[in-house]
Amino acid sequence: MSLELSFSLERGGFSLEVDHVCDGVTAVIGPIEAGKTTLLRACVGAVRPRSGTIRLAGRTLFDARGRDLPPEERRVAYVPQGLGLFPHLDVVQNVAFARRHGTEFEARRAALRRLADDDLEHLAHRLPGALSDDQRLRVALIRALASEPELVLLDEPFGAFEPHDRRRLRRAMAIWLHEADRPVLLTTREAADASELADGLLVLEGGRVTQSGSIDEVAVRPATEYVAALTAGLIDRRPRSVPPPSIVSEDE
Amino acid sequence: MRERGRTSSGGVVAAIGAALLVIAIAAPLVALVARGGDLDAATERGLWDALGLALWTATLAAGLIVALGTPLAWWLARSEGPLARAVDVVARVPLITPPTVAGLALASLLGPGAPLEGLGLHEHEGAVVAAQVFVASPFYVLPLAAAFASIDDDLLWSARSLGASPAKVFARVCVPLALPALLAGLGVAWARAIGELGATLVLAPQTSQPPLPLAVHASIAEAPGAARVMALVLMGVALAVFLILRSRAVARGLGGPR
Repeated sequence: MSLELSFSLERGGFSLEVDHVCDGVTAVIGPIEAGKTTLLRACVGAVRPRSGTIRLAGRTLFDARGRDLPPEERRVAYVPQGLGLFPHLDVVQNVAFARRHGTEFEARRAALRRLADDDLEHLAHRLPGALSDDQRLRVALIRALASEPELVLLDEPFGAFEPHDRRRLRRAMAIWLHEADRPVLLTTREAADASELADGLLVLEGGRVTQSGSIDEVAVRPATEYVAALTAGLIDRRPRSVPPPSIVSEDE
Repeated sequence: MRERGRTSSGGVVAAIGAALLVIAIAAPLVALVARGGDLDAATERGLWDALGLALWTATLAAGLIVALGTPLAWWLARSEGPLARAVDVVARVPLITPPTVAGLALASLLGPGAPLEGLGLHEHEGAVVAAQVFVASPFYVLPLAAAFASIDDDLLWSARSLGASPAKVFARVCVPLALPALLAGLGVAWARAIGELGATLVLAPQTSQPPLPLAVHASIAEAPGAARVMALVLMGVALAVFLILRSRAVARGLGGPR
């Protein structure tokens, strides 16, 4: 299952061009206004590329020559910045909202089961506003998977958190990503998020992909000053079991 | 310290101004209640029939405003460009249209010899409803459009991405989130509709039975005591509906934000 991005789009003077195949967990990294969120929005169908295609696991989600699947048929779960929980629905209603088939009642039962699996059933009847940031993130992730997506889009999932919380959250996210076991695009501005969570890296600067590949490849041969500054020090922090970056092969 | 002294003296002036306006609004209504009236005379002059007519026409008008105004509010909230700006102005026009002008305009369209005379609205209570829809619609459409516009786009795309059709997102997310504004706007529109006089007076001077505002108007000179009772009933009904619809408890009960 892979995500094939090959498109360009324009929005109010800003242009974004991507030509990349994503497998596993891909960290989309770049400075502010690089086009990270726009990339996710194109995948979900909120913005329309001017040309090109978006394909997911062999299905064409978008083709500028005449195919534009509506978001609800893409099987792409979008977790926006701020997480997108419905403030007027309680936790179980939020999770049950992600219903592809079956009755409301079945969706509710399935939602309660999913919450119980994560030991969150005690939150079932709370509103999102009454949850901690941690809990909100966990509910948003549970809801995303409840929609049975073939791709999950996470837009700066740690954006709401203090820097000192990130280490703990990354550990939790790593476990979640492993269990989710499907392609994920995750935007971030932190190299540590990418190195600890992602299989591959896609660096966006000013709407262009300036570099892509594994974190090691990118760290060893930074293509731009931004990437160099971003990954500086990252190599030293890598555990020793990882082979030295110099012998990582070029392909993939 | 000087800054502080200045703001507090400014605050006193502002408080006096605010109090004067509140008094200017409340005092006439208090005086109306204090004067009292003649319930028997009001009953004799058809108070209850007039109230019944006003209630059902206003409710029908409010229903039409909801049915037509909700999609308009949604469109206004989600559209940009010259057409949207023009439609926005049109939606506001009834607010600044003098009631007699509104009545004359409606009569030019629906009255005798007019293009839509065939509908026959001017011959019965349809004229009242048409006038009510015209004058009351902005009080519903404009706040609802503002509430729809304040909903975060990402929330809606996220909802769609979870498998929800646009209709489901509208019904389960947009309407509940806008519900306090929707109900409050509906309350004002309904109250405005039930009190509509000016346009009705021009468009339908003699429907078989006048709605309550017309009955008040007709009684002022001949039976002021009866007119005051009718006015109090009208005000009481409008105020009750307005207060009920804007209460948070009602919005919560209907699935709005808690």
